[in-house]
Amino acid sequence: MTSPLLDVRGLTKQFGGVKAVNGVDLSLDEGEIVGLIGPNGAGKTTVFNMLSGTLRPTRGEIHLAGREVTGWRAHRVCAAGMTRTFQVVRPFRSLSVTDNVLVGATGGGAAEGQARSIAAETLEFVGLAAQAHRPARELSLIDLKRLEVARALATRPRVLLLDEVFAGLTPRELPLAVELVQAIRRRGISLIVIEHLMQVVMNLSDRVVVLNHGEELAVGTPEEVVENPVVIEAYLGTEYRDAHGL
Amino acid sequence: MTSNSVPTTVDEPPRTTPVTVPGVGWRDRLPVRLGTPLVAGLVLLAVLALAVGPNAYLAGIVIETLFWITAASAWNVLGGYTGMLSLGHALFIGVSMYAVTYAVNHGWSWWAATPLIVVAMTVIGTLLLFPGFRLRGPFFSLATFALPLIATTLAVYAKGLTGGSQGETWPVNPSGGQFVFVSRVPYLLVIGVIALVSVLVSVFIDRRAIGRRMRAVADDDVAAEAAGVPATRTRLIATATSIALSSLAGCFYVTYVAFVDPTSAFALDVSLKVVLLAILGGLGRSYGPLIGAIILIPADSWLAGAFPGGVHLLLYGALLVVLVLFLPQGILGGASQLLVRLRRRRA
Amino acid sequence: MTLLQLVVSGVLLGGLYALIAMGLTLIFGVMRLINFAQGEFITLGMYAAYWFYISLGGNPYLSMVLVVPAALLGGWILERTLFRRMGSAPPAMQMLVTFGLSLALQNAMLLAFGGDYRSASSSFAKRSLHLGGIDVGVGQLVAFAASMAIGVGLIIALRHTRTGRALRAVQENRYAIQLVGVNVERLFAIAFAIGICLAAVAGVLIAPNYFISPTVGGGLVFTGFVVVVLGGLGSLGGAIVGGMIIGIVESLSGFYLPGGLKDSFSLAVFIVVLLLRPAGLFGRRGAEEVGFK
Repeated sequence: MTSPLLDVRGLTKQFGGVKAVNGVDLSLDEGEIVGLIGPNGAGKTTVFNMLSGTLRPTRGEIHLAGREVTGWRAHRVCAAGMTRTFQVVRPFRSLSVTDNVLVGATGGGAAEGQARSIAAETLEFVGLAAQAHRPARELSLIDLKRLEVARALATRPRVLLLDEVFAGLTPRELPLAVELVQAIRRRGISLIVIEHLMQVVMNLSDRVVVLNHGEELAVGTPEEVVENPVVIEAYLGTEYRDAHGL
Repeated sequence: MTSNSVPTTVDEPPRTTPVTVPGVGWRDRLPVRLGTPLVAGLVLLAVLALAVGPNAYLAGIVIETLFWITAASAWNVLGGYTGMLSLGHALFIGVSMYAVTYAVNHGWSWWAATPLIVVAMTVIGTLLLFPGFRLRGPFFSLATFALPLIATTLAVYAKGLTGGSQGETWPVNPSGGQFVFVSRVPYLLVIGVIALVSVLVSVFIDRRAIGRRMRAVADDDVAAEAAGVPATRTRLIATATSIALSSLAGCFYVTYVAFVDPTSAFALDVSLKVVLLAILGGLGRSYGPLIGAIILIPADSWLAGAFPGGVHLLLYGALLVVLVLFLPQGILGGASQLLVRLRRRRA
Repeated sequence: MTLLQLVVSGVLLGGLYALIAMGLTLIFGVMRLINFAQGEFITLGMYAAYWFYISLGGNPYLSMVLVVPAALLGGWILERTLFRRMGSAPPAMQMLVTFGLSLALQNAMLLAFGGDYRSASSSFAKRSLHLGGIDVGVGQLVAFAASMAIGVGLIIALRHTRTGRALRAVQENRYAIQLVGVNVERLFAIAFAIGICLAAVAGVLIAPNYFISPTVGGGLVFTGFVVVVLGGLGSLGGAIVGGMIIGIVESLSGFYLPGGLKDSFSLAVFIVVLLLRPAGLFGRRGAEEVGFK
């Protein structure tokens, strides 16, 4: 039995007296997509911050491909094969689109020449090739989201953490984004996806992890989770039903 | 970092698309070459030295301009590319001026003392700024602003080393080792080479991964780290490069002005001028400080002669306000925007 | 010189620093702007008091009737013309504008008034009281009392008036407050006008005790920054406590440290505080690291 690609145990983050994330266990297998859901303030982004090295966990262990990466700085975690996108897009505004992606490509360890071909290929892949030379600050929201994904992909991760890449997209843009995530998986990249839109997360995910008040409420296939009474009570019952008129 | 990278078999994107895709321009395929600016710079310098060498007044203006090209390029590496707006760069120039004066007055050759001082200044200065790396934006500026003020009072106080408020003078008898020449040509050549080096360093940074990393860190260090950029190491490289070039500029400048005292060495004027020149030419652009210095320094020499007193400082202040408000990208940035607009109109 | 005398002098000096720091910290808290030019408005206040005293023969303190409205108006206009234009520029670039403004104003005053030191020392302010073996200058006492009254008044006004509460809310979260329909631009102009006015008032208050020259405000405002950082950027109460601390530290170090080192002492305090506790004694942590994006 091989251990999962990403194995997280007892992940905890305490801010002052508040436990934003408390004892979360997570695992991600090669080629899997795991959905991470939960109400606002459930600690989803804090989990990503800790996994990617943006925040140091208070307690817990993170193993990536058999290597412990707990508490590593983000750039080392990235070089080790895991990176993330941000909920609110964070492009390098003074750089061109190509240069944004090149930063990721060399950040993942590629030499300059190789980085250029990776960048060109990645931009083609996400559909930004035509914008390659524009300054990043001039892009539209969907293109900024594409750029966010392209920059992360260019680091050639084994695990990609997507933080609400679908938020703010129009209904017409949504299928494109879903297709993009599936295409990423087809490249052999495993993903954890934070998402508010339930249809999207249920469609995409092999498994779903539900967080509430920083704690793990339920884990299972999308079908299991949707039918879990505890989940319905805590999360779907209020926000989901209200938001989606169910 | 490369040792950590995962085996590329799993995640290497499939190579179905050609290396160059439509939309990637000639500049992206250009190999990194410093040859052209190097040769052009050396030829220009030789011509300049021959042309203005005999004329002490013109030579003086050219030497000043070349010095400020160096100092502003040095600042630009940290403030322009990496977004750490230091308001205290006079510190590194001033301390180096003092150190090399002390060494030469104690029997050292300038040529031997300068490399040692540049290395020492770089190490000490980087250690000094390192704790400030976690300060962002204006907080970093405030902290660096205070450094030359402290240095001024310490220089006045430490009379044994610095000559107190009287300052120290450079030797006067011509001597190659002590860098005292009657002709202006050696000064022109040495500062010319230093300025050329500083511009080439910027061009190099501009064309390599390190320049993108500096800009990425300046724009958003959290996102940069997530994309694999070691932000602290990038800041260290920028800081050390910037201080080394500033120190080199200082080691030269004192041979030319032949005098150093606390108020001139650590003047706010100096810290401000490097910022102003870089912004005027174009913040975070490799030729920005060069353009800024070529425009402003000769004009400044004329102004200082024509209107003694505070007029040139008044104009600097006003120019800084006007630039940031109306031309925040500087002359080069404004010009490139204009070009883009013209091209779009034609298309 | 007894220790008590040094502490009392320090507290009196500290009251003035507190007033200067309150102007800086108000502008910083609301607009996220570090205003280097604040010192030049102190200097302008001093020259106004001097001119009032010399030309009109009035008590320098009475120049307030002109200085306060002029400073409020000047601050308002400056905010609308200069800083509103750069709303989206990074804070560091905005700071460069204030830096340039400071330099321009300082040298304009040098050209207009010359570099000579002047004095508006009225006979009233020159008097000195002896209380239990301690000498207290009347001028210093007036400056201290007025500073404290203004400071306390400002804190009360911020708590209990509509505009005051809005100003405090902008400090907390400038994005959220725009959503509830508050005119943030108007609040910026108000904060800037009050901040400039506090600087000019400080200038009038110290005019009788200090020699006046174009550069004097620049030195004072740097001490103001030290106080603001110590007290916590954006905190008015912190500015008062920080002012007292720096006043006492300066008074003591001026007596016990050799003359040349006195000036670098509070600068060293400044850098140490900035590095060890950048949020200051009373400020909220984080702004200095996030750089308030």
